[in-house]
Amino acid sequence: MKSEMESNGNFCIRQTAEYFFMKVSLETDRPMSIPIAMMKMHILKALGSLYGQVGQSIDVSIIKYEEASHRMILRIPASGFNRVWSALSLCSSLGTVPCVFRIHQVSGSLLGLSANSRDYDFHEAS
Amino acid sequence: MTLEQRGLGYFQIDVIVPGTFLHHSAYFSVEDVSSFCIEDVSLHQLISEEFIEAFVKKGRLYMISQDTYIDQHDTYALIPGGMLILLLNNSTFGELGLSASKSAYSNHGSNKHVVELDLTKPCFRPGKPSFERAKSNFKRCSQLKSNFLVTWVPHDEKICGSSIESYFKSEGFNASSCRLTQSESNDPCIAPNIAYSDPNGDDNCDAFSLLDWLGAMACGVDMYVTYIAQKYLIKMNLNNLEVRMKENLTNKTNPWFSLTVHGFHDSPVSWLNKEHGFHLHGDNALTLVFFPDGCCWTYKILASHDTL
Repeated sequence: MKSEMESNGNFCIRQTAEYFFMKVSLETDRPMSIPIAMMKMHILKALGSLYGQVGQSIDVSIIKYEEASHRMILRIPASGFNRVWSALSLCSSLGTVPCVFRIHQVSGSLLGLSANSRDYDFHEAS
Repeated sequence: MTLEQRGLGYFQIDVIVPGTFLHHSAYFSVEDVSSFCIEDVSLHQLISEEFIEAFVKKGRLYMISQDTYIDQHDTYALIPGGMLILLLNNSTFGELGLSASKSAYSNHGSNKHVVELDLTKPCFRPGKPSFERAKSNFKRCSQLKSNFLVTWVPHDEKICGSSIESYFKSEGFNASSCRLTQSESNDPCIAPNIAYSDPNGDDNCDAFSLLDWLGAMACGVDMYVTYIAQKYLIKMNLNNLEVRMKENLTNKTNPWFSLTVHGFHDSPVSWLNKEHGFHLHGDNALTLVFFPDGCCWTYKILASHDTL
């Protein structure tokens, strides 16, 4: 952590991200109920299939999960971020069911995930 | 330094207030903001003398190209102070033929060029070489057009901010109002104890844990909490928000409050008009945590391709 005093007396806080946060959803070709523990296992399997035990040792946490839509927010250590991203991108099946992970947004801070100008619809509903 | 002076426009504001209940409508109103979208505006129309004199020089004008991704497309912004900033791909830059500086991240795989035109310069007017060159080159490059989001805050309070919308309509452009929404929730949560003079968290919650907590609140993460506090999530454009919130703090009704301003991910510049890029992500947010004595913590949440 690094905090600096600005000229106006305020603290300005800068930090290199230790964790990345990722907004992800899982899409399957048929409706499925996947509890959070199953989802975590599925993510670890995807990591294991591409990177073996090294991949599975990455400390991925699901910090928010919506079971109905399979949307989640993952917290990933910066050191394993690229491996998790690639493992999720290349994962194509959940057991025998075809599936795809959609990565909606990535941020170095959880606060950054609360808004996305690329998804924001600025037009008024007519 | 006020939020207005810190930089470009923003599309979402989150306010999180722990402690005493406070009804937001007393402090915020959507009506005083006039933001709208205009379609298919060519850049040469933004440097017409009439437009510069009537709007750029007589108010704080925010314009940003819409539906353009900064890591893929050409992106344009007109920021308060009258600076027109174009972040161009190699091919457009070559075709345009105006002087530009290379992106600060050209060594990191970015092939972008930054063109900056100060529209308020005395020498930037019809008849002068710099103006005529810019105008003819903008006209020649037919792809230099985009939809824009526009907000104008006139210096003269007697003038209505929506007159710029009438101007564009009279010029034959399609203009439509922007969607402004606001939401509010009062979730039970533990409000962390923080102290301005203790950002390292020796006796209180430290500054980075607070940032994580604010993020968890904003994202709606379930934190299994027991105490009661209130949170406000408000999506709207606001002017002078900071001043109003500080007035609230002086009443000592809240121990602190946080104000997060989310800038556009695809803006060519971030806070203080520094270059902004999109690498893994395009974070462009500023969080201020205000304390009752007028002090504040500042968090700059930026992407890796951002100039500090």
